[in-house]
Amino acid sequence: MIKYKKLICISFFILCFSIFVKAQNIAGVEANLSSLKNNLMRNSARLDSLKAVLDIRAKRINDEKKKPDPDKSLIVSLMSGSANLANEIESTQNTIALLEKNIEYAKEELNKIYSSKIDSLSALEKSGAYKGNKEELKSLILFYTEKKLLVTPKIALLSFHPDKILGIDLKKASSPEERKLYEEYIKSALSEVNDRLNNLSESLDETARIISLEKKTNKFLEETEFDYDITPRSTSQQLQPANANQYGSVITEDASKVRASYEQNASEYGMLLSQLNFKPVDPKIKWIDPGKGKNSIGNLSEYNELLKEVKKRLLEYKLILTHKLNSVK
Amino acid sequence: MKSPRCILISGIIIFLALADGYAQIKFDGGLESGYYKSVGPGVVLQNGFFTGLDGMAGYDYKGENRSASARLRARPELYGFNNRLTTLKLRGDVYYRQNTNTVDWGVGLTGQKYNFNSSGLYLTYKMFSLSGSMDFYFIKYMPAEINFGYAGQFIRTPAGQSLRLYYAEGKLYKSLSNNSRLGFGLYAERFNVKGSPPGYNLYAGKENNGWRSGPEIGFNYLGESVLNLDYRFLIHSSALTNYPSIEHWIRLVAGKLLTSRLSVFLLADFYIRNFKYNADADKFSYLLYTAMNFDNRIYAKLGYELSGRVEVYLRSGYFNENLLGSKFNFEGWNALIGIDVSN
Repeated sequence: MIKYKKLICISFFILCFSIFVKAQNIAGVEANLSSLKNNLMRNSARLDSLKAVLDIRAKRINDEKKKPDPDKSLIVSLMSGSANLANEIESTQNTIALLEKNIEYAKEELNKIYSSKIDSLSALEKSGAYKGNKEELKSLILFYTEKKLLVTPKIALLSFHPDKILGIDLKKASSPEERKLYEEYIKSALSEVNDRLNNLSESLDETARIISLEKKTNKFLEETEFDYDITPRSTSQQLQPANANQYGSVITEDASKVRASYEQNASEYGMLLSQLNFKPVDPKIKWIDPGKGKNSIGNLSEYNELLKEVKKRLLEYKLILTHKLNSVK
Repeated sequence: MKSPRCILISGIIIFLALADGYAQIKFDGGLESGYYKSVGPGVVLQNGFFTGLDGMAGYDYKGENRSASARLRARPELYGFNNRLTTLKLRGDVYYRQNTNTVDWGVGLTGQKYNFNSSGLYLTYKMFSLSGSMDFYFIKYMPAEINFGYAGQFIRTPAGQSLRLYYAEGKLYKSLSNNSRLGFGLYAERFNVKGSPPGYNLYAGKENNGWRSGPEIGFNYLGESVLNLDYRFLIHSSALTNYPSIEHWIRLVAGKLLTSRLSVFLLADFYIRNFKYNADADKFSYLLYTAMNFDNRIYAKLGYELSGRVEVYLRSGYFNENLLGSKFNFEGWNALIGIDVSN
């Protein structure tokens, strides 16, 4: 018994320590990301001005060449300066590429840290063990969810930009007009999320009905005839494990048309899931990650699980948008 | 470990559990009771109370592109109290299936046992099948399927019979919509029946070799409701029949979810055979082809889901189990109320 208590104490200590380390880590990685972004902005501005100077020089060289009596020494001097400029531009472009790469790494790291934070806070909320202000806890989850969306890889499936919307703070609008404009933008995003949720709910109802119908049909056949067959008897009794039914197997299991149709939809929902990737996706959920192109959907049940997960995440996003709109009322 | 088989089974389970997928233990149990009445010139003529238990335990594994399952199922049944008839149905099966972009294939092994026991009559059926299946997606919107296998059935009654067969079946499917398809194909089977009259050695007697082959067609719909309609026409040639001897088999399966909890289903199987027997058929009736799956039946079920795991139902229907030859059957109807629990 004492051994167990010791084990619990050590585990608790490790947990506290890891939370402390992570808290330090967030600030460090965020500062690093901010520094990288500033550096990128500076270098982008420098690149723009270098390109502008190069354009001016190129124009001057062309103008000089067009003259009836061009000044060759000026042209040589301008061209020599342009070669240096071109080298500088190339060097700046390399620096920008490196910075962008490092920014992606930092975002990836933050993505993981925020996911872990959201998970632990959500677990705390669900467990009911948290004795403090529960609204504050919810706000904290929303806070990290917003941060997470800002570092989530972007895929243009939703017409609006989640990161821009999450960056909007209606309280900080400089004028009533600006606030009104932002409000409209958020409302339009909310409306799109609602539309997607409605479509998703319809698809979910349909797949759930087909799965249920298929399961009940198989069950009915099993209990009525006890699977007597020693030879194949019908299209509804083909050889396959009970859990291997493809796309509503009783009948449409191997219809490639249906297969293609579900894969197309699954691919789209995979992109949406990637966009709403606040927290790690349960490994049991099969989805087509647009970045990795694997974990493809194998049957209707898996497709149904994917839809459920996307719906859950859209609801979370909707909550954030609603929260934003209500924050100024 | 008492047996190397235990090691093998444990190894397989551990491998599957640790492989790149997930596994699930499945349970299903049911109890149904009601009234039955046997009719016609069957082997058992009585009516009364019926009760049956049904239990299944299984292990399902699902990986990235493969799946497997193993199941054991038992179903004891009691017909009446006086002059009672008991039956016991046992089944075990294992399946493995692999999916790729262009070909899905699977293999399966099943074993079944059916005891039929009443006063003065005792029958035992043992069946096994080893089967393979391949689905091809080479032709756009027209998947193809091949089924093949080897199966056996051993009947022990006062007389005895063993049936062994090889079969192959090729099918093409045409999708009519996202929810429906049409299937058509060819089925061929080579069989061998050995048997003996009561009191003789099963394998000492005459044999009946033959072929069953012909076309088949099916329509399937699964959407708002489910509708499966299959028809198979076979030409039967054997040592005991003359040409033309034919078989028709028709199956209808229909169902609908009336509400999210209430469902209704219908199953109708019609097996009609029109054989022209030769002079030996009467003498060697114990050699006539009799596979267990040739039952005529019509069943309807009304189910109500109490929760995701529990369902209560009413089931009623007509059954005619062809036990041996053309005149040895168990025919009647029943009306049952039942409950089913699964995980």
